Amino acid sequence: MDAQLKKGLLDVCVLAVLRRGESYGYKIIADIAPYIEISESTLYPILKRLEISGAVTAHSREFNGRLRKYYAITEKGQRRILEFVEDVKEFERIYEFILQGGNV
Amino acid sequence: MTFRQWEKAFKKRLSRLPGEERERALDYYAELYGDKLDAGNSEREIVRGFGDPKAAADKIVAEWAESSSAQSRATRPRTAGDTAARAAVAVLLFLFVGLPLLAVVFCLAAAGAALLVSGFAAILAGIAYDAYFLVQLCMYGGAAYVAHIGIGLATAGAGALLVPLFLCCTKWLFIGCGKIFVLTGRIVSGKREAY
Repeated sequence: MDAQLKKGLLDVCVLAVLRRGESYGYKIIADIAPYIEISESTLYPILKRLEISGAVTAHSREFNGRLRKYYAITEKGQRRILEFVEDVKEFERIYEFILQGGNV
Repeated sequence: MTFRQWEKAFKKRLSRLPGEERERALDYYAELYGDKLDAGNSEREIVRGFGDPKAAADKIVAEWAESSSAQSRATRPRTAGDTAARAAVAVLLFLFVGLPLLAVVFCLAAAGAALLVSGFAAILAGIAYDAYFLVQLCMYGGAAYVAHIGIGLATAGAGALLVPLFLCCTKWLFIGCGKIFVLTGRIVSGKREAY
């Protein structure tokens, strides 16, 4: 898969996981991995980017005597998912156009 | 390699990052290590899954550098030094790119205009030539003058035939000049944006 395309998809995949409820790094990777390849080093910049852009918020909580960072989706993150869904609809139209060899 | 060894190499490679960014990255991997250990993975498996610590660190540093550069381009306030640098670049670009291009465009435009005029000039010259020798014929008679009238008519005719072609060439020359202007403008604005 194209690297830039995958980068965009992964952002939305993380937001989709967080839409179900707040989560943390290891669980996010475990939830996404069956659908798209993602590694620890890939997730880190995604979470950071989403946090900076305001799509997610982060807070730390104690778990088993250590700190664990939890991420939660924001309104902005929710809108980002809706925008992605719209983009996919448009992509589907273009995909049909290409599949039909450029014929309308 | 133990996780401590992995973390040490990772931390060393992150030295290029500011303190807060470095701690954030270290906390991220420490948390992942703890969660994977709780999930039943061995230390060796976890470290193998994390991959090369230098590669992991380089990826984080590269992302940080890219996002910092994008942010500074968006928010960096203009200073007097920036304005002076931009002005200097604009002057240099105008002198070494703009002026020569203007000269080329002017010459092309002049060539186009001359081309257009030449067709009509040939027609007018032919007509004037005919008029002169018609008068001569009327005054003095003679076959030579008839030949001259023929030459004039041929010249006017050739001019009339060439005018549409010259019109077309002139049009394309002016379109080309316009495109050169647009391209120059894009180059100049692209260079200015870089500063």
